[in-house]
Amino acid sequence: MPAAKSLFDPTTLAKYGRLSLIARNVVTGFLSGVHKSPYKGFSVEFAEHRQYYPGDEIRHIDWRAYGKTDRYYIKEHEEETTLHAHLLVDASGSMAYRGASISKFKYAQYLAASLAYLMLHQRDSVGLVVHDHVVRTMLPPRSTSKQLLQILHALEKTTPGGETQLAPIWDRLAGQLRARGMVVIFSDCFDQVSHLVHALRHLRHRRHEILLFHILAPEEMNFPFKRHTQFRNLEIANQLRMVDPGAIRSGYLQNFESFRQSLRVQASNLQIDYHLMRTDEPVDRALGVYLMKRLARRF
Amino acid sequence: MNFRLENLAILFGLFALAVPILLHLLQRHRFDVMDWGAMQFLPDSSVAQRRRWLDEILLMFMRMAMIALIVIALATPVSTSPWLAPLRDRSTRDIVLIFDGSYSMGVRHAGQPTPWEEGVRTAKAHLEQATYGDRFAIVIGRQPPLVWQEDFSSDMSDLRAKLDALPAPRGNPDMPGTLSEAWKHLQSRSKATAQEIIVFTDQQLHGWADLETLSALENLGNQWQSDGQRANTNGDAVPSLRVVKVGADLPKSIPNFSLAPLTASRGVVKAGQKITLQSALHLDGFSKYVPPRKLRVAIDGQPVKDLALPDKIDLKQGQIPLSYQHRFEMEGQHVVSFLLEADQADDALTTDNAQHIVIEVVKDLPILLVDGDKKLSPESSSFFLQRAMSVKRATPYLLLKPTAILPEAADTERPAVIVLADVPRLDAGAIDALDRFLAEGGGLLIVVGERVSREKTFYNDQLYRQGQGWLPARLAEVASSQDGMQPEPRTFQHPALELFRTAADGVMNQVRFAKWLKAQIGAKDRAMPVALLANGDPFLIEIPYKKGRVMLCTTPLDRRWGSTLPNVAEFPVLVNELVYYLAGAKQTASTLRDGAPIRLPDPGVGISRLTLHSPEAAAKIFDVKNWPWTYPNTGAVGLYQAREAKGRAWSFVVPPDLRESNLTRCTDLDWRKVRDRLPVVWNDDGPAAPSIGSSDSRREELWWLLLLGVLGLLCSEVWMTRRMALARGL
Repeated sequence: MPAAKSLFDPTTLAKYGRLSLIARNVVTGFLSGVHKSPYKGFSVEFAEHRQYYPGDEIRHIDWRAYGKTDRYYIKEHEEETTLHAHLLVDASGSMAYRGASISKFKYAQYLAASLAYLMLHQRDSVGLVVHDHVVRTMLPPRSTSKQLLQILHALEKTTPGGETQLAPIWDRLAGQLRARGMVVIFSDCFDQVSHLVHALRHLRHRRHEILLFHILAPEEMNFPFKRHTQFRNLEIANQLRMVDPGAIRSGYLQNFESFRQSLRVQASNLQIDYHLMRTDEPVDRALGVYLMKRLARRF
Repeated sequence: MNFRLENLAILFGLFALAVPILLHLLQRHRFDVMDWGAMQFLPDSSVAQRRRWLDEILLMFMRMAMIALIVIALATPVSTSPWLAPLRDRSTRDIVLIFDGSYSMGVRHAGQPTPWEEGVRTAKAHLEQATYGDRFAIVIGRQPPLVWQEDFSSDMSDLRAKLDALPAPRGNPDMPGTLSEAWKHLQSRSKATAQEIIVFTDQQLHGWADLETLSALENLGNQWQSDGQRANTNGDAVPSLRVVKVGADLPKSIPNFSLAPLTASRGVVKAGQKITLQSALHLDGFSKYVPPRKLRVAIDGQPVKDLALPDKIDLKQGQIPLSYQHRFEMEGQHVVSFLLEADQADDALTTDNAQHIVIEVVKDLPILLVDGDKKLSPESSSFFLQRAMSVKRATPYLLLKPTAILPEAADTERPAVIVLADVPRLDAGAIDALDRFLAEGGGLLIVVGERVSREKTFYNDQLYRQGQGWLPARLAEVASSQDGMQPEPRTFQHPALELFRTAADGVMNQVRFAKWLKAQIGAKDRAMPVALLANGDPFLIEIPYKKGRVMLCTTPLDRRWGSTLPNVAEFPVLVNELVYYLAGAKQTASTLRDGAPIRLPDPGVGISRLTLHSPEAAAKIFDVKNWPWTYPNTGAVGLYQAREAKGRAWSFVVPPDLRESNLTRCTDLDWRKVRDRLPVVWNDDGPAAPSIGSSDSRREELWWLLLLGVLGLLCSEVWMTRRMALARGL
C-alpha cells in the first residue's frame, strides 16, 4: 500500500502544516482502511445486532428493528465506560534532534495529535502533559470537542528545550494523575533506566496502563557518522564533545542498544507496552497499537 | 667525508615537508558539527582520541620522512663509508696485481725507497680501501712469471701478509709473458663482472718498449683483441689494464757496476785440462772511475782468487775485460762465480754483481763414433778420428742401434757427442733416437764423404727437411779444385776454433781440400757457417737443435777427397775442440734462459728427497716421487743447486739480462707505443694516485637505498592509514 504508506509518512505529513489537519488526515486515513487492517472485527462506528435470547434484558431490544423485521434483535450498546488517557509528551532538548527525517519532537507531536484525535473520536477523555524537566503544559482529560483544539494548540506552541530529568517529572505526575486510565508516553527516554523504571513503576502502582512510545531517530540507532564530528549537547548549553565517530561507533552502539534493551525488558516486566518508534516510520502504527490496547481493555 | 650530496639545489624541495604539516593542521580543523541528544551514550574516547592523535602525528612524520627521502634521493647522495660496503654494487671485481719483478726494480738511489718497495707500499695502502667484492691475485712479473697469490682473495690480512713476503726483485723482464699470464689467470679463474690488471712498474725502457718487447706486446695485443671480442660475444668481462709507475725519477746517469755473462772456452772439460773463463766489468753512469772494492772468483762457492783491477781506465770503453784460467782436478759439475763487491753509492743495482757458470769436468768424454763402412778398416773414414779422439772403437753404421745412442740401462754411459763419419743412411729408429739425443742436449758432428754425397737426397729429405731437421744445411753437389781449396782461418770466429784463428804459424793455411761438398743454408735456417773455405763456401756449419748442437763438416776428416787436414799436427786438437764444444751443449743446458725450468733426469734412485737452493729463498725440500723432476720457478737471476739425498747434485744458472742494468725509463713516445700495441681499456695510469681503492672507486650512490626507504615508508603509511580507517569503520 504505497499510497497509504506515504499518507502516514512523517515527512509527507509535515507538508500539511497545521497539526489539526495532520491529525485528521492520519485518523481518517487510518479508519478508512480498518476493514483491511489487522484490527478488523472491532467496530467503533456502529452497534451490532444479534438475535434475542431469553434472559436478555428487554431494554436492550431494538424496537425499531422489530418494527421493520418483526423479529427481536438485541442492540449491542457502544462502550459505556469512558477511557481517561493522558498523553505525556517529552519536550526536552534531546527531542529536538532531527536527522534526515523530522525531529523526534515533531514526530511525537504527530503521534500525540493523531492519538488525541482518535481518542476523542472514540469519545474517550484525553489529557495532555507536555514537559521537559518541568511540566510546561498540563490539560486534564476531557472528551469535549474543544479538548482536541486545546491539545493541538498546546502541542503546536511547544518547542523542545531544556534538560531532561524524566524520572522525577514522571514520578511527580504519577501522583498528580488522579483518574486511573491510560498513560501514553512519547519520549526518547534519555535518562537513567533505573530512574525511569522507578517512575514507571510508580505510574503502574497508580493502576495506570502505560503505553510507552520510545521515539528515536535512525541516526541515534545506527550512528552512521564518519567524519570527525563535534557533538553539541541539545540539553546542556556549551557541552561539546569532539569525537571520531568511527573510533567510538561500536562503543556507542553497544551503549545505546544496552540502554534500549534494558528499558524494553524492564518495561515488559512492568507490563508496560513498549513500542519503538523511529522517526522515519509511519505514525499510524501508533494508532493501531492504541486501538489494540483499547480493544483489550474492552473485553 | 663519508657522505655528500651531488645536487644540493634539489634540497629546496625540502620545503615540501610543510605539506604534511599543513594537511595535518587542516585535517584537525575540518569537522562536522552535530546537535545531539544522546550524549550519554557517547563512550569515553579520550584514550582512543589520544591514540588517534598519535597515529596522525606518526602518519604526518612518515609522510614528511617520505618527502625528505625522495628529495635527498633526487639530490644524488653518495657515500664512501666502508660501513656501506655490504650495500654496495653487488657486482664483483677481480684484480690481478702485477709487480714488475725485473731486477731493475731494486735500484736504490740517494737513500730513497726502491721502486719495488714503493710499489708494495702503494699496493698495501690501497688494499686497505678495497671495495666490497674486490678480490685480488698477485703475480710477479719476471721470466717466467710467478703467480704469488693464485686464488682470488678478499682476505686483506692474508693479502697483506702475502705482500710482506714478496721476494725481492731479482728477475729478468718478461712483461708480455706476465701480462699474458695475468690475462689467462683472469679468464680461467674469474667469473667477476669486472676484471682488472694493475701493474706496478718502473716503466723501464728495456722490458716495456724495446723492439723485442714491443713485438711481443703487439702479438699479445692481437690475442687480447680476439679474446676481448669473444668475451663480448659471450657476455663475459673483458679485463682492463692499469699501469702504475712507481719509483722516483732517476738522474740521467746513475753509477752502476755490472758483470757481463761468464763464458768458458768449453762447457765440458777434461779433468786437469786448463779452461779459460771470461767476463767483463761494465761501468755505467760513472763520471769518474772508482774501482769496486773487490772482484772475487769462487769455485763451488769457495773464493779462489781476487781479480786485479786497473787503477785507471778509459771510461769511454765502458768495460774492463776479465779473464781467469783454471784447471779442475775433480770430475763432476763445478760452479765458477765472479762476484763483485762495491759501495752502494757506486752501485745502484746489486743483482748484476754476480755471474756464474757451470762447468762439467769429465775424465773422458764419451763419444760414439759411427762409421759409414759396413766393416771397419784402416781405410774407413773414422780411422783418423778414432785416434784423434782416443775413442776405443768405432761402430759400423749398420750396427747402430737406438740403444747405443740413448742407452736404457742406468749404468750404461750415455755418449756426450756422436760423430757420423761419412754415414750413408740411417734407419728410422736411429733418426728418432738422434732427435731425442739432441733434445736432451747432445752434440752431433756430421762429417761428409763420398757416401754422403751419393746419398744426399736421403740427407736432404730425411735429415734437412726444409730446415726443420737437424742437418744444418741442404747438401748440394761436390765441388773440386785442382790446386786444392784451403780453409780461411780469418773466418774462424767460433770459440772452438779460436786457437786456429789466432795461431801465429797459420797451420790451417797448409791444409788443402781437392773436393768438398757444397752446402746451401736457407734464408730462414737458423744454421750459421762458423768457418769458411777460401772461396767462401762453408767449411763448418753449426745449428742449435732443441737443446743440442749439430755441426756439419763439408769435407772428410780423413785423407779422402785429397784432404791434407789429418796430416797437420793440430788435427787432433781441432777435432777435440770441436767435440768438446759440441759436448758443451750440456753445459748450455745448465744455463737456464728465457724462463726455462729446471729439469732433473732420473738419477735411478727411485723416490728421493731433494734439497733445492735458489737465489731468493732458503733451501727447499722436495719429496720427489716421479722422475724426471721439473721445477718451473726459475725467475730469479742467479745460481740454483739441487742435491739429491744420495749425493747426486745438479747446478743451474739463470744469467741476468744485462740490458736490465740500463735504467733508462720510457719516454712519453715510448709509452705511447706500448699503449698502441695493447688494445684494451686502459684505466688512467696516474703515477701517484692509482684508482684501486680510491674514493671514487668506492663511491656508492645511495638513491636506491633511500627509495627503498620510501617504499618501506609508503607500505607503512598505507598499512597505518588502512588500520586507522578500519578502526573508524570506514
